[in-house]
Amino acid sequence: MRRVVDVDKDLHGLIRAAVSRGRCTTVNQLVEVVSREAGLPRSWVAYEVYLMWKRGELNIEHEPFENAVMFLASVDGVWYWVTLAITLASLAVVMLVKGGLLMPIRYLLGAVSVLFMPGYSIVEALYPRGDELAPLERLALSIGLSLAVVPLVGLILNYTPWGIRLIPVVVSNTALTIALLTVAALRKARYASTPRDCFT
Amino acid sequence: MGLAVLVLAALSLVTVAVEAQQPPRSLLLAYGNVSAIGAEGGNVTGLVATLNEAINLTEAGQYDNAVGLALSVLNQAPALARQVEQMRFIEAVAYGALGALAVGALTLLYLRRRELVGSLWLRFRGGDRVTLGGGRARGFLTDSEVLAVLTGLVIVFAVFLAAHSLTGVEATQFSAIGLLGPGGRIGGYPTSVAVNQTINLYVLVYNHMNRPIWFVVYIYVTNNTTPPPLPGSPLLTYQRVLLSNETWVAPLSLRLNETGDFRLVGELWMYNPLNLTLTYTGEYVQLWVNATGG
Repeated sequence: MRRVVDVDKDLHGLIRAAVSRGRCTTVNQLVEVVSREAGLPRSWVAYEVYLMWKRGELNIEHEPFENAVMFLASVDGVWYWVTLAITLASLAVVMLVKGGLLMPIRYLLGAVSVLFMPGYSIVEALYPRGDELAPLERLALSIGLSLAVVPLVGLILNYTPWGIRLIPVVVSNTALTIALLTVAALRKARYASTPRDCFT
Repeated sequence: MGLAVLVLAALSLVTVAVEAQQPPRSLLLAYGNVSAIGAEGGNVTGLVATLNEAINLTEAGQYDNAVGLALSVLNQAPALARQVEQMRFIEAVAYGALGALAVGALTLLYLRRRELVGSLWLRFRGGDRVTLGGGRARGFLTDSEVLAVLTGLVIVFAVFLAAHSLTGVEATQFSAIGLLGPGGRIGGYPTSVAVNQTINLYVLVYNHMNRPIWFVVYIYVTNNTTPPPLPGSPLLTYQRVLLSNETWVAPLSLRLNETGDFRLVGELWMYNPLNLTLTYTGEYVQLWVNATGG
């Protein structure tokens, strides 16, 4: 029987109850059941399931990946490609944009690539599972570690023939970030290849 | 005491003798126009190159050719100034449109977040299994605390951006002169040299005046401690128009042919783009060198 629910108040309770009833149910089945019970579109229910997963109220388990390539080719690997794209876009914008309409984008991506991405990639490499740190801790550590690491890159560059100039700084910062992101992706892939509750 | 210094080489750039001619009035006027257009954000790279060519010609004594180049710059300047004005208008409209578009897209995305995110997520995660979680959050952009911090950062960034676009210029304006060692880097400066030994250094000038500036560097070699600007004629003069944010590194080679303690001084002067007079910037560099016999 269909009934109208308050999305914020009742829907989470319905989802929790449905998960308790059918342990290791698929997302599709869960959404279908709750959508029918609540009289809401499937996408609305799916969105709330997604939020509950992100808040740690639900676990979502995927069939273990056979290798890192399969992980990177899956939706779980999208994280790696997005961060890689942001890093490379920062490099391109800083090298190519010298003025004009795109300058604000240069400021934005430049700030992100110096003040966030190096630390973020370290945090992801050190804590690949995702739930070891609270999101705010992850953000604070990302910014703090970036502020610690970037001057060290400058210090090392000072003793190289290239010196502390724009191109060596940008290239080494990008290379360091990509290397750490790749380490993080490989560690995530390793974790994702371990069978968990529903697949043991 | 007479001081004799032999200059061995000076650069591919403009190096002139002590009795440098006063630049033609048309060249100064052209420089003033180009500097003004540059201050408004116009691309004056080509015009600055022409001005530098005209300065070279003036130093080489080809006064008429220099004036010809200056006049060609003066002819091109009004059209470029109009173009800059149009570009600024188009830029303002484009920024407004892009801002409105971004705000509209973000609003739409927020209003339709359930349909968009929900259906996409269901499409890619539909086959995954669900169990009750342990309560440890994992979402970066779904966490309210993180979003609050990010909102704060966006507000600060937006205020900075708005102030920057409204004022139109960067607040800090300065110029700088530096002396680099033989390797073209800071350090490794000679302190003691043999008479007639070649001293290789580099003079560095940086323009952060937010507009093209005509810089003049006077090089003196003296044995007194008078603070700059030094009286008398300089040993060497370097001059060049630098674009905003441009760095200019010029090699400097010389030999001392007497023993004693000598002071190499580089003074930075500039033609004020507003009144076109040569003005001392107050910035200088110096290096004490002891010349020894044999």
